[in-house]
This record gives sequence, structure tokens and C-alpha cells, in this order.
Amino acid sequence: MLSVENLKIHFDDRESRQEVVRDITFFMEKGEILGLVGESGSGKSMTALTIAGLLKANARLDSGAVYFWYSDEPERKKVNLLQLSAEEMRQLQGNEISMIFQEPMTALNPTMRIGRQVEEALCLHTKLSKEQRRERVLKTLEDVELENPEELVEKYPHELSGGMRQRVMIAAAIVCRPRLLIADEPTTALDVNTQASILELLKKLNQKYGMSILFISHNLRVVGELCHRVLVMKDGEVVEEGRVEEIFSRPRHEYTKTLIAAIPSGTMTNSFHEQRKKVLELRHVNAYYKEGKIRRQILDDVSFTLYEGEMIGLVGESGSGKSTLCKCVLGLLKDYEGEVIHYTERPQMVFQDPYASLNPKKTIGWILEEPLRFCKEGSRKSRRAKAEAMLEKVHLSKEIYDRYPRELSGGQRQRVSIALALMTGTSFILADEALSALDVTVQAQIIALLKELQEQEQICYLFVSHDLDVVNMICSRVLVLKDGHVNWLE
Amino acid sequence: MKYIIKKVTGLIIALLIVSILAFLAFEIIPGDPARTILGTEATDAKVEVLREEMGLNRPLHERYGKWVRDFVTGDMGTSYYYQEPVKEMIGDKIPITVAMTVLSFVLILLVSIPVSILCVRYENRWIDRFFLILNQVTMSIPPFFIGIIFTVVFGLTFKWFTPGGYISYKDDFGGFLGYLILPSLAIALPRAAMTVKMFRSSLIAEMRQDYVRTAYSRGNSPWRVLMKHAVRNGILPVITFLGMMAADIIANSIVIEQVFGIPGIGRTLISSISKRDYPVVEAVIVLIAVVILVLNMIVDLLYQKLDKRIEL
Repeated sequence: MLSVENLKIHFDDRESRQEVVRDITFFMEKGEILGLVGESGSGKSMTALTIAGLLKANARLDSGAVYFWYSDEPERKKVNLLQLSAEEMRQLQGNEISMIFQEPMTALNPTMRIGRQVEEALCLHTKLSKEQRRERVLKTLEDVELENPEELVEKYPHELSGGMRQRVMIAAAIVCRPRLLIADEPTTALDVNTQASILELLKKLNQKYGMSILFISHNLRVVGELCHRVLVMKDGEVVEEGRVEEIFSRPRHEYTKTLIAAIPSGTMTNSFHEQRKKVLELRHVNAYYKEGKIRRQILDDVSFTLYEGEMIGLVGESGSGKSTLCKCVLGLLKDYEGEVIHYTERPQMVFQDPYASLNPKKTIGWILEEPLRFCKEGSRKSRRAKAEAMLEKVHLSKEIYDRYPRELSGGQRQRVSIALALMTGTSFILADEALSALDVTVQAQIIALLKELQEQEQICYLFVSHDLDVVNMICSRVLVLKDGHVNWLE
Repeated sequence: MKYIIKKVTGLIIALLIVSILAFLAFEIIPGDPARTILGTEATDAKVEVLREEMGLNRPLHERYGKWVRDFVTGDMGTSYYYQEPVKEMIGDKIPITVAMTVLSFVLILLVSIPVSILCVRYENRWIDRFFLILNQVTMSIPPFFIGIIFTVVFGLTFKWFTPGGYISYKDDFGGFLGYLILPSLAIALPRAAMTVKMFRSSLIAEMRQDYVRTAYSRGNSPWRVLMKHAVRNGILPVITFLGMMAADIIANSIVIEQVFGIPGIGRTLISSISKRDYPVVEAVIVLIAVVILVLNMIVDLLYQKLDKRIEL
């Protein structure tokens, strides 16, 4: 149904030539779910965008062919997608080949009603009447298991949750019943429960309509759950290919082995440190949020204690009250009952996005010294010495002191963020989705660093995440927040 | 509904502040209406008598209170200089200025929206670069100068209109609008250039958004993506910008009325200030404030209509 042959792509920037896809060849059968795994920069998204005809202007195609069979008839009409004109390609896009993207928040048009967005492909590719289109839209919204489609079509994206938006994205992509659906990290931005339900949905649609799915992900566990066959990509090349069971049971390539090893195993050490000092204690906290005139209760009787050198995980879906709990711990929330007791200093935060949370106009040294300058602590020299020592502690070279955030990789930036949190001499870090924006292998390195700091410096963490796997692996205890209640994960 | 109440209360408060400031300004700036009426030859005693008659010697708050009471009942007072009711003096001039302001707005939109869209569709090609340069030039020419150029070129050379040959809207509405087009264009062009600059960059930012990629993935052509998806999102900041420009347009129309000899409210305002004809000035200021505030209210409502994420 799809056959990619000797595909080579590079980026043309003014100075540099960057090869992103080097000679890839693979095929897809009708009705197959093929997983494409690799970390960012491995060329998996580029491959997908090429098939979907969405390559950016600065991407250059060096060689290769992408054959697509758009009929089941015996004569099997096949076209080379790369040789189609823009107009011919547009007739396939959204009609035979559809794509869904990672960010359900931004991938839908914020000022267009849901119904119109789902309907759009029908307007472009079919001659259906208005009533027929409406019927088809409602039917498709039911297919993706959304409730009350009649009301939904009138809504705007901001009125829906992340999971619902992703379902709408899927509905808009499959409304013309395409033969191929390309899914680029469709579950990465969602929380655990929603992730599972979206995967379930894709499976059902595959079975119901015989639609082939090219599923791109950096998460091998997710791919293992959904796909029939897997391609593992690294540095623009396919390093391993095979059926899911084979890949998991007998990985041949070193890289595949590291990927499998990086899947959190789910083992947990349940250790309480009764003899240790308490750092934070919450006693029967009820927190509220005012929405206009309505005062909604967000946290309901939350109690827990965090000890020195301990790492507690906090997981929950979006809207479960995670942020409210964080605000409460940080002392940013006024409207709460109960007690929040800090036995040491307030925590320092490490945020999700290491790209956005460091001031791009300042050097790393300047950023690291900011809290010291603010507290008017030490001389210039001693501040510099402290910053450099801190860089070493997070395993970064001293030379980074004079660099700017844009010159660092995501992993390095997250190390800087951790160093920054520790600059004030705190021993309590509140990590808010601190690993979510990183690749699996980088994640593993940062986890190692957090663990090391925990053991050597007795740093304790409240580790907030939607990724239960990661939390389970690194935290000694895990709190699950649901509808404002907390429970310890057994 | 709650929004309307909030806005109208705000409007009333704003008007009170504006009128008080105007009143205070007249106290501070030098010049005496009674002296202006009687001329420099008049004796101090005579001036004093007239001041007493006009109520100018009463305390400020009393005069202001009386003015507000009259204004609310629809009486805008009597011109010091012409001894005519202010309402009659400015009543038939307001439509002229309002027409010119609205026309300027329409022209700004008519020019800037197509030009911006064209620039973005052909980003960095010659047409985009051409408009960028033209924009830069247009933006830096003051409206009165454009007005003078128009008068020379279209009035004296091509004879498309008679300079100074203003046609009243009471006689010939079509001719009136025709006469207003060039002055409105003189006001609109520099502002249209600013709007293009703003709308173009806002549209370019929208075209880099994820939802635009989604739109392409459904098989939309570049034109369709631009028109059906990006424009509606990209125009939001422009609407705010246009609202902020309302006051600017009215201020410029006052100048342009002089250049083209249009008997709008601007001319009345200028001559009344020099004659110290305070009742007229006060009324004009308050009316201009009303127009600006109402325009901004319309902008708010429009914004909410286009972007449902905004709650009023």
C-alpha cells in the first residue's frame, strides 16, 4: 500500500547542510499499524512529513521514491508521491492520506468551530450536500467516541479537554476515510489515562475501517502496545525492523536494547524513613479556586509528609489539582484550609520546558548567579566560583558559564535549570514535568543526575508528572491525585 | 448584558473626567471670553458687567454643575460669540466629521487587508518587498501633506474635484461622499501603511502555527489556508490597533478639514478655541470623546465575536 524507497532528505540552512534522513527503505501493508521509533532528530518526523506532502521549504529531497497504491483494484494503481504536482498532492491530502499531530492544543484552529474543522476535508474532497456532510461529521464524531456530537460541532477548541481535542483531530483526519493515517506522536502531550484511551481508539479505527496507520513515537512502550511492526530509527537510518514481539524479545541492535532498557520497569521500593527529618508536611488541606462567583473545591483533605532525601512522585490527569497542590506547596495559594508546614526552606522549581524557562538573552553564568545577586550574597568572584562549582555538580563543563541557552542542548539546559534551583542552597526541589520535554535517552541521564543529587546531597523532590512509568521508576512513593483526593499508589 | 452595563458606566465616568479637565483647562489658559466679545477697546468696567451677565464670575463648581445639568437635558448652552445655541452650531457639522472618520476607517481596511494578504501569500517575493518599501514611505508622510499633494494633483491638474468646492450632504449626498474620499484617503493612507505592517507580521506569525500545518494536511491550497484559517486569527491584534487609532483619526481629520475646506466639527473647534468660545469647545470635546469611546466599545465587541476565548 505504501513503499518508501531509498529516501534521502537534508536541510539547507545558509551555512550548513544537515542530513536528516539517509537512505530509508520500508513498506506498509494495507491495514497494518507500523511504528516508527526513535529520538528527536532521528528523522522519523521528517519521513512522515514527506509522505504527507508537508515538508518545509528548507528541506531538500536528494533522492528516493514514495509509492502509494490508492486502489484495491487488481490493476493496483500506484503513484510516486514525490513526483506529483502540488495540486495532485492536495487531492490526496486529507482524502487518502491524513495526518494527526502531537499538540492537540495548537493543532486545531482556535477561532473555528469544531464542526467546521471536521467538515473541511469533506468540503475539499467530496461533492456531498450540506446535510450529507453534517450527517457524516456527526457519524465520525461518534466513531471517535465523543459524546453529544450535535452540541460539540458548535463548540470551539478551547472549550474541550486535551483528550477530546485529540479525538476531534482524529475525526477531522478520518472523515474522508483515508487509506493511510499518519500519527505523529499523537499521545505524547496527553496524560496517562487519556493516552491509553487514544491508543485504544486508534486500534478500533484500524480494525473497523481497515485503515493503515503509520505511528510515530519516541516511546517504545506505546508503540509496543499498538503496532504490528516496528522500525527503529537513529540518525536518519533504520537500524532495526521487525514484528513487535521479535523486537522486544530479541533486539539485535545496541540502540534498540538501550531503548528497551529505558522503558521504566515499574519496580518500586517502598521505604519510609521514619528516623529522617521532615521537610514538608501537609495536614488536611482543602484548596479552593474561584471561578467568577463560584468557589470550586480543588483539593479535598490532602495530607502527606516529605522526608529529607526522599523523592515523592505526584501523578494525576490534567485538571486533577496537580498545579493547585504545587501552588499550595510554594505558598502561592491564598484560598486554602488546613496546614502546610515547611520544616526547611521553600522549594525551588525545575520546569518542564528547558527552552522557555531560561532567559535567552543572558549567559548561563548570569542566570545562575541571579538568585545570589538578588540576595546580595558574596562578591563577584565568589558568586562566579559558586556558579562554576554548581555546573560541575550537574556534570556540565565550566566553559558553559559564558554561553547562552540557545547554544546548549535540551538535556544541558535542563541540567542548568537544576543547577539554578540548587544555587540558593535549598535541599528541596519541586520538579514540574521536568522530564516530559526530553528524549528518552536524555531523560535517563537527567534521572541519573537527580538520583545522584538525592543520594550525595540529600536533596528531596516532589516530582510532578503525568508519566506514571517514569515516576514509578524513580520515586520511592507515588501519590495519585484524582478529583482532588490523594491516594498512595500501592 | 453585564458587559454593556460595565461599559456604559465606564463611559459616563470617562466623560465626566474629560469634561472636568476641559473646564479646568479653560480656567488656566489665558484669555477672557468677555474681552474677546467686546474687543480690546472696551473699558474694564464694561467687561466686568458682561462677565457678570455671562455668569463667568460665579465659582467654577457652580458653573460646571449648571453645565452638566443642562447637558444632560440636551441643552449644550449658548455660544458666547455668536449668541446661538451650541446644538444648532455643531448639529449639522457632526455628520460631516463622523462621515469622514468612518470613511477613513473603511479605506484603511479596504487598502490594508488585501495588501497584507498579498504580501504574506508572496512573502519575500518582489511584490512583498515592493509594498514594504512603499509602506515605509507612506507611513512617514503626514496626512496634511498628502492632502496638499492630492489637492495639487487631483484637484488642480486632473480637475477631479474643485478644491474648496465642498458639497453639502443636504444638497447631494453622493457628491458629498465623493468630495470626502480624497481627504479621507489622506488620513487613511499612513494609517493603512501602519496597519499593513502590523497585519502582515501577525499573519506571518499565524502561518507558522501548528493549526496551519493541520489545514495543509487536509489538502487546503495555500490561498485557502490563508483566507479560511490564518486571516481570522491574524486580524485580532489589528482590530485592537484600529480601536486605538480612532482618536488619532479624529485628530487628523481636524487638520485635514482645514486643508480641504470642509466645514466639519474640526474647523468649528479651532475657531472656537481662538475666540474663547468655551461652551462650543466643551461640547465638541465631549462629543469627540463619546465617538472615541463608542468606537472602542465596538472594537471590543467585534473582538469577542471573532475570538470566543475572550470573555467580556
